[in-house]
Amino acid sequence: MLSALRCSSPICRGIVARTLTSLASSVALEGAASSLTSPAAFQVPAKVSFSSPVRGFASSADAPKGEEEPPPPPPPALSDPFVRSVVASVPKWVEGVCLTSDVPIIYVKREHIVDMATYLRDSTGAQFRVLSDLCGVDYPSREQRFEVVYNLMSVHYNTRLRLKVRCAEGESVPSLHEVHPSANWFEREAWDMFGIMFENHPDLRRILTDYGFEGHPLRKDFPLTGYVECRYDDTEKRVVQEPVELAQEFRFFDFSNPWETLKNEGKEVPLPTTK
Amino acid sequence: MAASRTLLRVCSSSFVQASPVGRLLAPAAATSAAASFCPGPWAAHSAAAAQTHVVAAPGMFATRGIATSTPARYADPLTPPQNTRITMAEPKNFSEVLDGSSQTLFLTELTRGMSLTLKYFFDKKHTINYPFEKGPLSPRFRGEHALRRYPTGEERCIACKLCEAVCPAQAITIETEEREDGSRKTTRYDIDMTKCIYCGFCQEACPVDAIVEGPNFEYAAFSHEELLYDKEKLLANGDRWETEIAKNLESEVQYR
Amino acid sequence: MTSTPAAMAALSMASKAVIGGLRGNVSSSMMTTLRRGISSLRVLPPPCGQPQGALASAPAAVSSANNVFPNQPLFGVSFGGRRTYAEEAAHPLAERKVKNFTLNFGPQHPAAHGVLRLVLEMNGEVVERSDPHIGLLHRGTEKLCEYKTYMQALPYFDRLDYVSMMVQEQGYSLACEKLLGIEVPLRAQYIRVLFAEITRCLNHLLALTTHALDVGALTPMLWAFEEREKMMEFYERVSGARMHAAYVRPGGVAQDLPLGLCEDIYLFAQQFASRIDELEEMLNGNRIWKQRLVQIGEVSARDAMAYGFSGAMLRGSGVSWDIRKVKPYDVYDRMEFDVPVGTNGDCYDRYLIRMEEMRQSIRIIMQCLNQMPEGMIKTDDRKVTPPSRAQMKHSMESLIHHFKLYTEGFNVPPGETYTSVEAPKGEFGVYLVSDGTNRPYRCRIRAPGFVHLGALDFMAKKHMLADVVTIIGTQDIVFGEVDR
Repeated sequence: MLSALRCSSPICRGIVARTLTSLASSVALEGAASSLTSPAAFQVPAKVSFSSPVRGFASSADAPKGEEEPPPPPPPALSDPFVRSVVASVPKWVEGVCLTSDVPIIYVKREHIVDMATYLRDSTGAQFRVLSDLCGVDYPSREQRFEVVYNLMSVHYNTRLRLKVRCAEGESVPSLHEVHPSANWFEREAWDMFGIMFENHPDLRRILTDYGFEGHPLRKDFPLTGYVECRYDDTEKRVVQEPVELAQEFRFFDFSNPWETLKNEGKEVPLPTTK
Repeated sequence: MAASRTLLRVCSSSFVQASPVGRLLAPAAATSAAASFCPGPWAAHSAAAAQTHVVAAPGMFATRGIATSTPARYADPLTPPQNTRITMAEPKNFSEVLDGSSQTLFLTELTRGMSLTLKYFFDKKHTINYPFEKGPLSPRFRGEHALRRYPTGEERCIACKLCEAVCPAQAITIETEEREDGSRKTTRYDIDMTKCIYCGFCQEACPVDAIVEGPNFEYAAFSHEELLYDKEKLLANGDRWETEIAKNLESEVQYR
Repeated sequence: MTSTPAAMAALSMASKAVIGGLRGNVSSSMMTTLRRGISSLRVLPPPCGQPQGALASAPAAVSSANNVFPNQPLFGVSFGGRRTYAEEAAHPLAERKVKNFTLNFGPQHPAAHGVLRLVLEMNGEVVERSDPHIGLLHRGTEKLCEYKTYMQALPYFDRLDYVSMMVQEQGYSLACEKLLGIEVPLRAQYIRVLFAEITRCLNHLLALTTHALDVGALTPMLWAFEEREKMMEFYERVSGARMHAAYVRPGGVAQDLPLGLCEDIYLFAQQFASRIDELEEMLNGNRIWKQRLVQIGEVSARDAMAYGFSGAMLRGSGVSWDIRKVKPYDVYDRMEFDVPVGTNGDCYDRYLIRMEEMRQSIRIIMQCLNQMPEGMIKTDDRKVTPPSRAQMKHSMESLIHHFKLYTEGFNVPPGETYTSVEAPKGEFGVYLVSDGTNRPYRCRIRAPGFVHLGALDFMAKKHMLADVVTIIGTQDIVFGEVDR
């Protein structure tokens, strides 16, 4: 699989893409059976595949099928008064809550992210007026592949809060640019890097990659070296793009050892749910 | 001149202390209010305003004045405190008008600037005549790579490949074999100097101080191929710079 | 194109006011009027009295070049889109459609601070819309970090904003340390803060003086680069590289300060204040400098927060927000320093703030030097930081750790963090997602310059073309971090 991913010809790419979609759909089907049935207003689908996609995409290709997931740890007590009040006041918008040692994370339903951001910006007790960061994260093994992470900051209360929205490939997330104008470029970047679509975005163009670039480089199935390289052609007097040719193959040293000491090594943090 | 100094509003050191990690509505004064989800009168920033003071920065007749007089109890960082003068320091009386006008007319600030420039013109020169004079280099300087030898002439490298593994740019390529005497040595040690980012991780990783980044920084070349260093070139570098490298390593021994 | 009489009057009055040295509220409001007047200018009919032949022959070229006049005939008679004198006399103030001129700025313009390409929509000399095209220096740092171990990813952070290197290393190291849950020894924290402030001076010297260079003052840059040279020598003495130090590491710093460095930093800091005085002497009161900066690029506090500004850009608008104060990292909570805050939110305020920040940096440097404690410079956790040479040579366990750390690196427990530091340009944040392996699962870099440049359209709207250069300068753009 890895070698196929590195392959630069468009035919091979097509195959890889198809394999990926079929893989994603199988995971989605598997997950849909057990999750998404819970009636609770804010509950994360319990079954999310937690295999490690960093260790080469190949592992996730064979891993999810039939592998027993460890039971998620019990949800921590929702001690934070602010998060509790948010969940209490807008339960329909919240999908789940995760209290980490860093900042509280609120998983917001995709269609309500604009409402949530507006609410958090304008409510007197929150005042999250600064969107300090917006980025995407790719978890190819999950049924909802992408996470859009919003790091909000409240200058008034000197606090930060993280919102997350999950979306599958092909789904779109409402744009926040009317609530936070700084989201404009962040969303363009997320679109460029991950291919996450943003509804109502005024100008969803690529931002960091080249004009006419194809693909979304920060996806886990995009090879590090990319597919094309460009150089100035002296005979044609212009920049030409060619399939990538490396003098030396990218060497991926895998030093991981079988007796690792960390618990949950290679697993994502399970998403605790709130009651 | 005193009436027209640059004033900057400067908030003093203790305004909002760190919030405990993971807590919202953190500042201690606001914690009680946090539970009721409606904090008091902006406790977070009142501390800031309480110690706001004015710092005068030296500057000649800059007409920008940013001053606070009363430490008002403001909390919203959007609204400046009460009695903050947001001003371009209008002249207040006739003498100040005259002062400002005459300074503008006689190009005072330009003259002063030019005289300062003139002072520098006659000052000691700080430039150095580069190819003949060089700036100082510390013993830690990370320049061109070199492979060192033991005093016996035996190469130090034991082909442990730590440098190859740690190199973030993957500039190093090593091939290895066992010699007749049973020692493990490299048959190939290539560094692509055009890939190298000179982070110094290779010399940190090397357990026998074989690969080092020496003090030489003048090895520019006209072609890419000249910068693909192989083992011979690196060993030759090591022989050439051994005195300096050894001296540097000697002086650095207590820090490493 | 002529201007309205009102604008002309404003212009003459404003220039009189400038000459009279009364750049008070009166003249500044005049300037605003002037700017508004120009921005709302419309192309008026050409003045009467031109020969008819010229009108009849010229317009074809005009209309094809600029599309100034639509080709539909007015009142049945048309000379290539132009109206007859009879029509002019009948409707002297009729408006005409004018298409804006699109201007390409950069990417090889010296005032573009690197590789910024701006597509400007100009109405005369007034910018109606600016569209920055970035990414010409995109190197995929975030993607590369996912393929490197945590330690190998560190040198990439030097290369983001290549004038504030160690602050970014510090931000990344703090993020790693937060996930690892390790404490850094006090001496290492002091060294980090010391060099973070040296970095701040390095950055501000470059930012201000290149800003001055763009605006037209050449001399300050030559002087400031001498000071930068001294500070880069400190960099070189402590880390071995003048810029890309790779010195601040997760768990501490790479090596201890060499002997004598603190004394030299002290001597440097002593004389540095008077260098700042000289810079201020050259710029603060200079009429050209002020005419180019005062009331240019004004941003209100509300807008600054909405557009995600941070650092001097946010403080210039009057928001007292400094991460070193509000959420101190390392030993900033032990340092005594002030945070300058502007009130007008224009380029001149931001300039004054950066100057003042350098003075405050000297204060912090002095405090660091005075309080510098003895002790270790790396955390004692041998699973994170490599052992010293002597230990490695003498203890088998240390040797194993050495080999493990330089091949596999250290594993970071699963989790995620958004850690931000007050970089000289603003809030530099690292959003690090770990899945428990030795490589970051996702390493998102929040660069302040990216956010600021995103607001360029907002800031430069209705400004003159030359003011765009001022605004780029005040935003302190460095493309290493914008394009990542």
